[in-house]
Amino acid sequence: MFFVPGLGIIISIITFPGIIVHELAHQLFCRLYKVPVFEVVYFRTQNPMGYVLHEKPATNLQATMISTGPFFLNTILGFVIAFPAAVQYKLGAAYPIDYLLLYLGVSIAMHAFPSTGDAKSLWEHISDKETPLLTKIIVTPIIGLMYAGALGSMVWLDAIYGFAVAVGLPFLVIRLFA
Amino acid sequence: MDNYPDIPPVNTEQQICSNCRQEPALEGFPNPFCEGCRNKFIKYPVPGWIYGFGAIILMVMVLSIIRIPPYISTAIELGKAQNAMKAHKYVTAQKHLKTVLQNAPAFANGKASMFIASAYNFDLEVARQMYAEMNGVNVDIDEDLQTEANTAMNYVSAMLAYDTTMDERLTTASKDSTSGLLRLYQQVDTAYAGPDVKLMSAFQIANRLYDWGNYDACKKILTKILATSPQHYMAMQLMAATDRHLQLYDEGIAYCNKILETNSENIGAIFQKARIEMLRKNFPKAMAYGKELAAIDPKNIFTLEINALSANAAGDKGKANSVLAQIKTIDDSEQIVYKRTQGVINGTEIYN
Repeated sequence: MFFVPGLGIIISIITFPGIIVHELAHQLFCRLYKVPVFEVVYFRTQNPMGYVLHEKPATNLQATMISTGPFFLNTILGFVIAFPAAVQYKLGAAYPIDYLLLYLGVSIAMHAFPSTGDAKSLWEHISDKETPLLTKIIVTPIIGLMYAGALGSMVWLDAIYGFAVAVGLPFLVIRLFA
Repeated sequence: MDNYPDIPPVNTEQQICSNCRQEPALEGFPNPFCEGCRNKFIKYPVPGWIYGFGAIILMVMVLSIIRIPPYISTAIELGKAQNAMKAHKYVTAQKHLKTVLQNAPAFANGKASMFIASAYNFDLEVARQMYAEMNGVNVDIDEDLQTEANTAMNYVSAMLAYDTTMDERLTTASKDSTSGLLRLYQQVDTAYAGPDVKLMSAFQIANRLYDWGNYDACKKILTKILATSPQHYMAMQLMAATDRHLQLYDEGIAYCNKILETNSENIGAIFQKARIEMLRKNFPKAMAYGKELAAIDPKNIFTLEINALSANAAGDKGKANSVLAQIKTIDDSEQIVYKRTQGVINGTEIYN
């Protein structure tokens, strides 16, 4: 089941809302840091399934945040969208609308992981000779994690993460208040 | 995915915007854009259908959020119930589960949890109701809960294995007192094939011996029951009371503690420990158990009995009589608890 050819594309098509939010997050972070954007593809049915073409950010922080932005936005949005539905699902009181929200929450959260393309562009940014050593020491492990997360999708890490954020996390939050 | 485009070399001589080719380019940026074009690219438009997409998600969320508040409080109650069950505090768990099932009556895991809690509390009416609602219906219950429910079922079913003829036989045997009961016990010991029915029948005989004050004979039968079934709840409960009468206080406390391992809020076991401590004249400890009982179920008659007796032992007659009045109003055991408590408070009976 792990390496079915084309299955990744099919899953991505099914979970397209997450890809749209992922690319939108890149775009919004570019806007936040006043980085010009030249082209945005929110979703298409070929690899890469979405991308944002933008100017090279001025600082390493900007580059890091633009690359990792979707991780935060998709995670938060996936959690918030799924939260009410997950609670109702847990209590056996879910309506069709709740299953729709759970689908959206899981789809969005499972596309939180930065892609190898995101990791590559961040690596290109910090591999300049001018980048301070300390920055390289801090950012390199982040790039490593980005690659690990992207490669983990081959063993469904992204899907596991999506379910954990959208279905598991709401229960954990509720337990904190119990 | 984010990418940087191939940037055309900056023509430092021209300093003209590479997009509009009219305005002078701003300096200090990788791409030679004028201010207007740079701002245009920074505010790269988000298409209308993305706004539509966001609006639909928002609308669905709002609808769901409108319905969520009672479910959040219910989920918190469920969390509290689960925490209580983990700590084997089944009275607390049952209270929270009651709220959960009021708000989510179709919640299968809630029903299974309620079955477990009520079984360990020996609230058989509720346990039967939950069992009936789950039995034969295709419900999705967590595997761990299912296992736990089966364990609870085994724990409680031993107490339900009644031989319906036993009451009559006990009455007949009672006519010639203890020896008749012991003869009946010999028959029970050899005649029954089903272990639960045999143990329960033996328990009934032991209970009758206890009622007559023949504690030694009662203890012997209970010892045999517990040798066969060490977790036999009712036998342990009666054994603790028997040990109290036999002044085997440490043994009695040990049986109570064993019961409390299964359900740390077992009112009967805590009540028994309080009674033993009162007989030991260890009133502060008895009062502490009284407080523990009050925290679990302040209106329970055994809670009130211990609190009345503790107040009496501490010399607070006013409080003792006030609690006694409460006992009178709720005692549905033909005023047995009321009478025995009243006797001790009035000094006409010795506490035992």
